[in-house]
Amino acid sequence: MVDYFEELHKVEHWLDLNSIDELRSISVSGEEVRIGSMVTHSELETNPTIKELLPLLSQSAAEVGSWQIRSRATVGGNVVTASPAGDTLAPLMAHDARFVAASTEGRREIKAEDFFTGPKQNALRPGELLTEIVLPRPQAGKSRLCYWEKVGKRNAVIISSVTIAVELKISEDGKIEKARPCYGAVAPTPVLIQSAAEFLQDKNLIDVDESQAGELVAEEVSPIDDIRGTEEYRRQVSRDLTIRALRYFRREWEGDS
Amino acid sequence: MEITFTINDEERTVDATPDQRLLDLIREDLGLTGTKEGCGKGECGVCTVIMDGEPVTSCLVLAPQADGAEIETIENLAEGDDLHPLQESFVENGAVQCGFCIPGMIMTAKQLLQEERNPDRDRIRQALAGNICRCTGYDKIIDAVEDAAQKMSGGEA
Amino acid sequence: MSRRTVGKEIKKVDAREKVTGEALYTEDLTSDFGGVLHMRVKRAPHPHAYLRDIDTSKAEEVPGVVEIFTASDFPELKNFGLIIKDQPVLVGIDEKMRYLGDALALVVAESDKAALRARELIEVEIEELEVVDGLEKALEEDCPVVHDEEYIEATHYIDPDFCCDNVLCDHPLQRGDVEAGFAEADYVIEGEYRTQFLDQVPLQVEKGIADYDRENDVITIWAASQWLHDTQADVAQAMGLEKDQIRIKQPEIGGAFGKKEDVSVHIHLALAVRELRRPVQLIYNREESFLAQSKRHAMIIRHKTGVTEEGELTAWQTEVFGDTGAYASSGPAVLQKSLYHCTGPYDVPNVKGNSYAVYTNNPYGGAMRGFGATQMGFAYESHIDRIAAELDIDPAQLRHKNAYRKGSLTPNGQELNQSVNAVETIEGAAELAGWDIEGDHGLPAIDPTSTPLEADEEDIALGRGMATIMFGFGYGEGFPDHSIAEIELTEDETVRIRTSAADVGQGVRTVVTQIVSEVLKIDPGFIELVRGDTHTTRNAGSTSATRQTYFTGNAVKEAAEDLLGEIYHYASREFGTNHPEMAVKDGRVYSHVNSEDDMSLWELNDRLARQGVELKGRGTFFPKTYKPDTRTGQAEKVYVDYTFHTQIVDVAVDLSTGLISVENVYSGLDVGQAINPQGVEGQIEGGTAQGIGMALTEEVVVEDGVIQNPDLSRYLVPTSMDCPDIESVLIENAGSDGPFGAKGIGEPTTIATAPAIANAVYDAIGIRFNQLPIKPERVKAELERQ
Repeated sequence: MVDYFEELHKVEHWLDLNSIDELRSISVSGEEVRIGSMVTHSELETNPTIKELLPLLSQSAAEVGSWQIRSRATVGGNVVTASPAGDTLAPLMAHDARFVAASTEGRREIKAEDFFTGPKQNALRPGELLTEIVLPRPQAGKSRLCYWEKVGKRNAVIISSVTIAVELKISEDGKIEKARPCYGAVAPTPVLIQSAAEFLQDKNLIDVDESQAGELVAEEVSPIDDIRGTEEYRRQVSRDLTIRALRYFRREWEGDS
Repeated sequence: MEITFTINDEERTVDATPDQRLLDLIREDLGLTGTKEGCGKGECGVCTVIMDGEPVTSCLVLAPQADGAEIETIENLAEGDDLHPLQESFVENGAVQCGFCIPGMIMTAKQLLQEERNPDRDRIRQALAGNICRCTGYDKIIDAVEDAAQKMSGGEA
Repeated sequence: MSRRTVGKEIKKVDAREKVTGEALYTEDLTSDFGGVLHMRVKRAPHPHAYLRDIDTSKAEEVPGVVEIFTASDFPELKNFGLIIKDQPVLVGIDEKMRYLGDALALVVAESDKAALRARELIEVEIEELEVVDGLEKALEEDCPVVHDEEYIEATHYIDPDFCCDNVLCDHPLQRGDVEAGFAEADYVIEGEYRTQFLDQVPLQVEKGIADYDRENDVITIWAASQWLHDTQADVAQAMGLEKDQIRIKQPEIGGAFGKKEDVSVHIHLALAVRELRRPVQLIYNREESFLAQSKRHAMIIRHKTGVTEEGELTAWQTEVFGDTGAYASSGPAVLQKSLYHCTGPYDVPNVKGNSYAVYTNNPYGGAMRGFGATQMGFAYESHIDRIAAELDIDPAQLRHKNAYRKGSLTPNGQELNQSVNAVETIEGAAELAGWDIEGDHGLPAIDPTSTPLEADEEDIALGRGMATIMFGFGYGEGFPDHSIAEIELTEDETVRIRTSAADVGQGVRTVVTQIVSEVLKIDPGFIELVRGDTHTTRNAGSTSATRQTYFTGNAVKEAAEDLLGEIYHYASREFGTNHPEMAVKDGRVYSHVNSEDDMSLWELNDRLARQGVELKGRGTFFPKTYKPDTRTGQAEKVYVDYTFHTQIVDVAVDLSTGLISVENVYSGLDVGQAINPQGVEGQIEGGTAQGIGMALTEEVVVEDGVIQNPDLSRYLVPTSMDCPDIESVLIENAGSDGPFGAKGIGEPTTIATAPAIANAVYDAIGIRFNQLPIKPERVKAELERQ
């Protein structure tokens, strides 16, 4: 609606999805969590299931806009707008989300890494509606660590300058089984930094050289200069937030054992 | 199109068009001018009303979307000459300067106190982050909400 | 001294209607008018161009359009402006548009939708010119001239031979001999400081409704104005009408901070209603408010200061350039006030300076809280802090040593001989903060988890900074500044105050109520105020320059005393008593001596009315200041008084992200007498929030004359999460000539925060930022360099 400020009278047709109940549900099965595209950020922030199973999503949803905006803005809206700075996008990617696109021709699932094709561009075809987000349910008894941080120019109601969302799966002996380090606002789309993921794979968490991990991220992101930050700033901060995340993981891991 | 909704405990049926915002419906069609417009883009919180138990910026809600909803605006708080504890607290604590942010600010605060009986200062600050005030620096607004919380949880009606 | 209401916590008189939503701001009045028309303004598509043609034919065909006005409809229209009338109401064919806010056409329609549709269809042909995009460009040789040659000649205050056709005016200052002073110094320290364009962002933007009385040929406008009578005069002269033909009535105002001094909707509405003879409303949107109305001047400030080993200042030389944008607005006065505040509140025997207001194609610089003294505060307080660091003297100690005391001379040579409390503000703030002026600045440990930052102990840096500022309030400079107030008893058993003083939220209405309550010894509940109205209330001067408490407060006090005198005069006749025997209390006048001599004020009023006598009072406050010498800026008294303010700020810096969090603020404010202490605190807290914005997050980004961020998601004012709780001490050494010894505080309360933050950042990370805002990307870039 912000895009149509003082131009509402120019819109010829409106489609209000608010009354479609199926799009508003959150459900959990043995293997999956399914979130309807019309679920609001407020709902994601407060829903105990989301908080427990998808902490990156609930924490990032809590920092979108303001309470007023979170009450109305939907996660589907955040996804489909596909802003490189969309706060829930790197988290969804880190939690390995798939987006369900439905049309009169049927349904298909699109992996998060494939969904965002450019700044404010997504892989939906004309006639397709985003109906659900599907995420793997984290397995009980398996260690998983998550780190989310949003950097913005003021402390609230702010479009992010840099976001980081990392999900680590750790084996019992402290070996990193899978790392999904994802970043927002530092590239044309939210990104999973493959080189850092590979670097972290199979390493012992307590031995990891976080500076090196940070350097890999700084090299691979492709930020721009804009009103929210310079390219240089975004590289430096994504590097340092990676280091901060790894330090945090180490502390959490050592705290537990 | 005709829509029906409850506003300030009263059921109303009005004609609404999609190019009309809830804010315009409230101010122009219903004559409730307590809710103000500060930016029109959901960035300042001045137009906040409570809709179905949540604070929303009414400039970003299309009028037809209010169909079937329960809406509350600032006009609903005072009972005759008696002010709501929040309103009283804002007056007593010096939290009102130009007053333009106040109706929206009070509505958000009201919803906060509905959900949490004794939020601490940090929590109040966080809840009100979507309501910009340019005059007060927020200190006395937070004092007022704390004060109201005490009044409301202390004394039973 | 026991007081009734002055100095007490009393509820603001307008708070109740604001918390119920009953207060009527301009836009709430629409339903009072039948058949109101809607206006939209077509503005310049380019910041520097000639208008060659404008075609409204397609626009006129949109259903619902009533009329579209252009300059050619009003050939007699004159320019307007606060000081220099250089701003066109409507840009005509072959005339220049100089910034994106210039108006080209007025669309009036039955509905806002129709006006919007029609506006889009207006076709404009322009001849683009090179954009003068900032100070450096404007001062280049061969730079395009924003205003025509003849303008410049008329507006140079001093030196018509001064180079550069874009300099609107310049001011000089000189006292003593700076060269001798530099020679005496052990160190000479030079620095350059830059401040950014800021927007006042009052939450209510510009709006107006106007109506026309055909019989009397009077246009009535309901719109905010910080100075009713000045706006009235400006509108009238632009239209070639008598002042009495323009009537302005004050609605409730949703904030100003300087933005509502210039004409905005007023002339456009007046023109339309006079032609169409129907009420018309013009409501800006937020973007329009950003584009069309005034800004804080962006400035480049250079200081050169001589200091001895022991930290004594020997000489101070200053150069100030202010980007006044496309039109003069308050520019000449802002640059003058800036220069006169160049050294800050410190004794310096030799001072020299020049300031320049420069035209560009940027949005025009006008009034914003502090009026140049804010930018200067950042500059001299950063400079003083730097001197302290270079001399290895504690920053508080250096300030304490040099701060004004009784007998000190300001840069204008004004001797401060009453209510000089600079030192007390330093001591007061320091005590609150635990800063030992002789020793340690006492920064407390701040738990990283208590800050909004995500940093942990490893990557957080903490720092504490101080700033002490001064503010000469009132227009001063020999300007005939005055306020007139009237007071009367009504038939409804109230005391009615008549003043035009605009209450923009700062609380002048409450202050004058308290003053009357104190003088007449009557409960505030008996006192009412009329709404300001050019035709029924007298000139109170502007709500600006931090002058209303002092000027209108004194005028109201005098009016109340005048009324009291009248009450005693007539009551003594009624009672047959002597004057010393009489008193008033709680709405009655009585004799000490004879308890039967006792009457309600309104009964007295009634009796006198039957005799044809009106019981009322009037006060005019007209304090004298002197025009500074045109060559040296010196005068015996340039400002009626100075207010001092010291703030100490603690910051936390996140070394990984460059983000800065303001953790604690301590304020020592020199108020003379706080008439409403809660109101004063409110000004400190609000002023501090604006200072935090200036220091860290706010900036109007302009490129080639185009504002890049004219909305609240990209122009970032502090939210509740960006402002800490503030502790303050009010220093009340009454001794000022304000009512009950009160001083003005509206602007001083915003000036110290930005420099205190910058100084705290230096303390935290050893990097001094001489340019505002201190953005995280700049902090990070500097940290990386280390």
